[in-house]
This record gives sequence, C-alpha cells and structure tokens, in this order.
Amino acid sequence: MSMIEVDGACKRYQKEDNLVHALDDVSLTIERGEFVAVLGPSGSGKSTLLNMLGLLDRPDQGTYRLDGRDVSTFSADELAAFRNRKIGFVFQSFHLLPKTPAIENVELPLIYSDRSNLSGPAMKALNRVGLADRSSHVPSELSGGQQQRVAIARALVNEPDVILADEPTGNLDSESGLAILAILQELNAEGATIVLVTHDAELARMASRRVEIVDGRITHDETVTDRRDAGATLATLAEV
Amino acid sequence: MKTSRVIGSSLRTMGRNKLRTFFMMLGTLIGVTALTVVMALGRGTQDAVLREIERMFSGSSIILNAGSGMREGGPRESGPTTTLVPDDIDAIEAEVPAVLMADRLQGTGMSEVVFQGNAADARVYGHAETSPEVWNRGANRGSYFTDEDVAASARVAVIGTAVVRTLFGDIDPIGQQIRIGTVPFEVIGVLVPYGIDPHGNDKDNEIHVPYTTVLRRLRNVDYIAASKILVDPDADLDATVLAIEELLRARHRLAPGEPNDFHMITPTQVRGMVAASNQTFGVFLPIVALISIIAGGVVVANLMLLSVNERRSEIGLRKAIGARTRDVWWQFVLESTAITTVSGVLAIGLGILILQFVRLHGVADFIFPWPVTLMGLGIAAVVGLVAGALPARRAAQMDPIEALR
Repeated sequence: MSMIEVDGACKRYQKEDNLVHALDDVSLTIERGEFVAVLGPSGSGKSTLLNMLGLLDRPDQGTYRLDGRDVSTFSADELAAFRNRKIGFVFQSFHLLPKTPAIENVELPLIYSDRSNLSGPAMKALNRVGLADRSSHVPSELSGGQQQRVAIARALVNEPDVILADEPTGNLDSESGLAILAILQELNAEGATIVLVTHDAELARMASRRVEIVDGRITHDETVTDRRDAGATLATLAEV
Repeated sequence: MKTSRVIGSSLRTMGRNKLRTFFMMLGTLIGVTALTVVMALGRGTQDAVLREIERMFSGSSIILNAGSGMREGGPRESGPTTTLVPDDIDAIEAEVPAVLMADRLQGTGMSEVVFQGNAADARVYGHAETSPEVWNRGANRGSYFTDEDVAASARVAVIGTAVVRTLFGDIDPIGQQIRIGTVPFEVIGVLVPYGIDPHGNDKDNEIHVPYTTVLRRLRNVDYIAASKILVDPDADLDATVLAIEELLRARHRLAPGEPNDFHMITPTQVRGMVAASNQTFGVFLPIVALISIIAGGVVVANLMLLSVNERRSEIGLRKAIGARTRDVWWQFVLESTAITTVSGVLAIGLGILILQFVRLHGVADFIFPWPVTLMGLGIAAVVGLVAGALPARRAAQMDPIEALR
C-alpha cells in the first residue's frame, strides 16, 4: 500500500477573467520512505499540490488516498484529526508562536492530540534537531536556522507518517539551509516519508526522487541519480 | 483536546501580551470595583442610619415638630413654626393615655460659649428634665437639671465632652461659670459621650440647658421647636399619632381642611424614607457600574478582533497541525472570558483594599456585599464570553491556506 496516491486530481479557480488550472489531471504515487522533491516555478501549482497533500485543500476532481484512506469523504473535523496524526508541516516562514518558548512551540501539535504527556515527546523532538539546550528560548532569541529546526521538531513531535516541507530553506542562508536539509535527509534515512517543495534545482538534488510541475501538470518524474549528501556538503563548506 | 490545556494556554497568552491584556481588563476592573465599593458603602451607610434611628426612637416614640413639615418624599414646607407651645405638650401628657412622658426642645443653634479667656462655638439646646429618660442620654459627671431648674428657668448647663475639652482642658468643669452669648450659666454636669450623628453634627459639642431658660433668657420667645414623645410600647402607635393630631388641631383651632401646623415622625416612616433614599445606592449606581462592565466588554471585543487579525499566522498554523474549528473558537472565547474573569477577581481585591482604606480613615464603615460582587464577577465572565464569541468565530472560520500565506 502506497503512502500517498493521487489520481486524476484537478483544481481550478477563477482569477479575474481567466480560469486557472492550478492542478490539471495530476496523478502521483509516493511510497513509504521516499524523499520526493516537487520542483516548479512560482504559480506552477506546486503549492496547491502541497496544500492538497497536507489535507488543507480538496481537489475539485479526482481522488486522494493517504495511507490507504480516501480522504475526500472526510469531514472537516476528521481531516483535522488526520492532519494531526499523519502529517508534519515545515513552512518557509517557520510560523512559530512569538514570545513562546521553543518547548511550548514543539508541544503545540500534542495539545490537539489525545496524548497526556506533552513535555516528554517535545523534549525528545528538540533533542533530535540538536536544540535540547534551547528549549526555554523564545523565537526572537534564536537564529533563523535554529527557528526552522524548532519548527522541524514541532513537525516530528507527533511521529507523523509524512513530513511536508514548503521551501524550508527559503528564508535561510545557504549554510543554515544545508543544515536543515541534512536533518531532513537523516529523518528520511530513518524511514520518514518526505515531500519537499522548492523552486531550487540544486536543493532538489538532495531528494531521492524529483517531480517537476509546470502549469498544473507533472512534466517530469524521475529518480535522482546524482543525489547529494547535505551533511557532507556542509562539512566541505566548513573546511573551506 | 483538554479544556484545562486551553485555559492554561489562554492565561499564558494574557501574560505574554501585557499591554493588550491591561487595556482589555480596564473596563471590567473599574466596573466590578465600582460595584463592590458602592454597594459596600451603601449598605454600610444604610446600616449606620438604621442603627441611628433605633437609637433615636429607642422603644416606642414619636417626634413632634412645629410647622407643617415635609410630606413624604415631597418638598419641605415650613409654614408657621411659632404655634407649638409648652402647654400643648402638657396637654398631650395629660390627655393622651398612651403617652408616658415628653421632652420639649428649643435651641439657639451655634452660639459662642466663653469660659474665662477661652471661647468656643457649640450648639445650645433647651430640653425638659425628662430628656435623659426620653433620649436615653443624661449626665455621667455631675447631674442633669431638674424640674425645679426648668420651672425657675435656671441658668444651669450640662455640657458635652467636646466642649469640656476645648473650654476647660484639665480643669474640672463642674461648678464653673460660663457665658453663653452674654448670659452667665453654671456648669452642673457633663453629657454622656455620643459621637457624630448622621447629619455629621458632633453631638458631644452640645450644651443642654432648661428649655424655659432658652425661651425666656436666651431667645425671648414662647414657642418650642419640637418634642419627643415616649409612648407605651403596648399601645397602638398609629392610634396615638391620630389622638395627638386631633388634640393639637383642636388646641390650635384649625378649621376642617386647614393643614396641620405641626407634623409627626414615627420610626416606621423614617425607615421608609431611608429605604427610599437607598434606591440610589441599590439601583442607580449598580446600573452605572454594569454599564462600565459592558463598555469594557465592547473594548474586549474590539481588541480581540484586532488580536485575531494579528494572529492569522498562529491560527493558520494551529489549524494545519490539527486544531478543529471548535478548538480555535474555544481558544479565543476562553481567552476573552479569562481576561474579564481575572480582572473581576482583581477588582474584588482592589475593592476590598479601597474599603479597608476608607474604614481605616474613618470616613465610613461598610458591609462587604458578597452576593452583588459575585454577581458582578459572573456578569464580567459572561460579558467576556459574549465579547469573545464574534472574534472567535472569525478566527475559527479562517481558511488556513490564506492564514498561512
């Protein structure tokens, strides 16, 4: 059973006088443990695809099965619960709560789960991204790279099946960006399914598979043959 | 999601946005504090007045005043105040069986009193020898004047403790000569201390002399201002009032339909008037306080709306990570409810502080109005809930994709 199965998904919306096809008959299957980069220029429909994969948006036509369940019949509350359990989001602009310590930011998804222990898993997730010693720092006391690592810890805390990362390095310098990719690659090596949306072809080489989308259609879908190791690149950078 | 977690996170949010929280709290804080203080002082004042009435009318008694006086709640009509004479009171004592005894009163108002080089202003009242029994206040040093002093218009005075302090200091006043205006008097006693009456007059800054002395030697008139009449506690007070009225109308030769040139006050009447005046405390001021709480609620609603717009990213994020529509709604409703409830609790504390301050400085006593205050707190909580409902709805219905953009 595939982790993600999209079949014939269409999404249209009206923009001024034009009918825009954000998604035009998109079919995409992602297996458990894959690291897929979705590459495309802005306006290509990649964000729409990511929102749909993240259960924030529904296709007008076609089906979407997540972990074998057809989510098109789900109610809003069922979708929320499914998002909470199955999906971890990482955003370009972090979306951490201001003035709130890192540990509480990481605990946030657990509040909406039925877990009773909040700080234990949160501390473990912070430790996983190497920020255990920053747990009481508020976002304004952390660097951009550290803030994004807190956001990754938040995405991890509920042990989701899929991590959806939308331009996670877009607001970071290249070194911090590489560190973020290194963490994602590690998580992937440990078995996490990761979908990374980016417009940066270099970044897409960090993934195991590369899907290109233009004007709402998938134009390329191939395995990355010259895959780069973010950790190693980072080490080389440090030597120079 | 557990409610306790949401409440906890609401309280933390309040702490992290101190200035916003402060402004949101202000209206409720002022409203509930005002309600608490106003009601406490109102009840305290009312109780003090009622205690004073009990003291004034101890047992069963009637105050008889010259002049047509006031109609209940209406304007004070003076009319002639020169028609009530000592013979009227003698007749009441003799002819109305339920009447035990009566005092006779006439005063000079504030007068200058001099002892050797010292001068002071004191209120001088003429009383009958029955006064100690009728008012339950006599002399505790020396003695009160007697029926013989009254008959002789004797120049004797019983003085209050405040007068003793200002005029005599450490000297024993009994037997000393003082002057009231130009007339010399001998001090024969000191009045039992009493304190301040509800009109704010110091009843220890009084001098009692025989009323006949006031009439003949101080004012040269033949009428009295008032009388206090003690009535047999077993007798019907209303019937006694009617009997006195009939007797006085006959003695004053009032034609049928002509208004009384005197009026009587009974304890029942006074209690009614006090209750009426307390409508101000009991109804009007609480309404003003409630308006403040509700105005505070409008401020809370507006600031919550601003806050919802400001926190779009947070709302979008919460929805993305699994918050249901009602989780977001509850979060904002509980935030505004927590703010008004916490400010209500602070207001009760502030109210107690203010009241203790007032009590310490002897301005007024109070009775803490727990039922009204707790009701105010409840209203504050409800106002917070209502004020948060609309902003919370806007937050709950936000599209997470838009909110995260």
